[in-house]
Amino acid sequence: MSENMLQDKKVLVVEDNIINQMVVKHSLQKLGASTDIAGDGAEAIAKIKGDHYDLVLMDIQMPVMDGYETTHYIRNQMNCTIPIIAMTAFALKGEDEKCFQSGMNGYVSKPFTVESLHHAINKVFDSPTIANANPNVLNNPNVSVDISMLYEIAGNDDAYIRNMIATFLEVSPVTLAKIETAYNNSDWENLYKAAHYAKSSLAVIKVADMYEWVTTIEYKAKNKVELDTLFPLIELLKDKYIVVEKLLSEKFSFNINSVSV
Amino acid sequence: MKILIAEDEPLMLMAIVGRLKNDGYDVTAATDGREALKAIETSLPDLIITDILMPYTSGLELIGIVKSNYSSAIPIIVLSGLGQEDTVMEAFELGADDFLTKPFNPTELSLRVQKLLKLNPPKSK
Repeated sequence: MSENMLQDKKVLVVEDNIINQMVVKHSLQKLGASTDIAGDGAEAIAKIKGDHYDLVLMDIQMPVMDGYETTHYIRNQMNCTIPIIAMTAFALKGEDEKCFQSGMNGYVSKPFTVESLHHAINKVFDSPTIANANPNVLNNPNVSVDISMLYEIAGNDDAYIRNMIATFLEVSPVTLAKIETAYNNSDWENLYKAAHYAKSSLAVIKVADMYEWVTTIEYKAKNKVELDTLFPLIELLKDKYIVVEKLLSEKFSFNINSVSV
Repeated sequence: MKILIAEDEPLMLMAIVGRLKNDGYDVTAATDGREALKAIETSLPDLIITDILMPYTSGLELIGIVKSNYSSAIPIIVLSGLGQEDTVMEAFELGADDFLTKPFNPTELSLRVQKLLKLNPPKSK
């Protein structure tokens, strides 16, 4: 472990509990960082606006504006890509996923040691941040949505791109419902058609896995083979779409804003 | 240059329309074969891009009608999915000039259209 991995780095600690503030500050100083403290989300936002930081350590449970809301604001209102690591107790299942979805880059479980903090920071600095990754591939740990084709089609025509996203979000639930209904009715012809239709959408807005699944459904329904394997595929498809819908509706306005007209 | 696009899936339709409009073509969109035929009755396009599986009038029927009733000189590009090779062959037999597989590369679409339009100068009235 490098004692000075954060040498010359300025870290903002967002934490409302005074004891925790001292503990985190102490750990960060051990890694060579200089630290600054914000007692709540609003103070953190003000500090990030006014000063340069290399990293933010963010508590999740804070009064008024919690860690998720604060991160969401930093990402979407400020268009700021500073690495943010959540400090969380993870008492609730799915909290880690919420961290990523709100735009955080990593997390460290409380109570943490200097080693686990070091590990979390290393992970974040080693992996490409949202800003470094291809901005046209939207990622979270559960899904990857490639919208680069929209830019190849429309160039910088924001309105057209937004319109295509809106169309996708409008059409997909209808198509998924058709797939489900056709399956429930053992109507293989219409299942084939609905899957084929979904495939066209997913050839434009490319969601890893979903395209493969609808292709498989299309093939099996058309040829009426392995029909007993369709149910889990349709369930997977529906679950994945929920994540995609959330990701696109949350993150897309952010991408649109950052594209110059 | 006028291009008619027949595709029933709205996002795929928007993708093709958007790209070709960006390329500077005069683009007409039809969401099924029947609508495409109506557009052709109104005015003949210089090129047609059509999906195969569409309601009312399929892509194959559309190709047959255009090539025999209107002008065999209007180039037609068939949109196909992977695994539809047999249907593409059928489309070629009916007179289709080229095909594009979904998911398509937008640059490839532009180039194929460009090539067909140069090979087949517009003969519409």
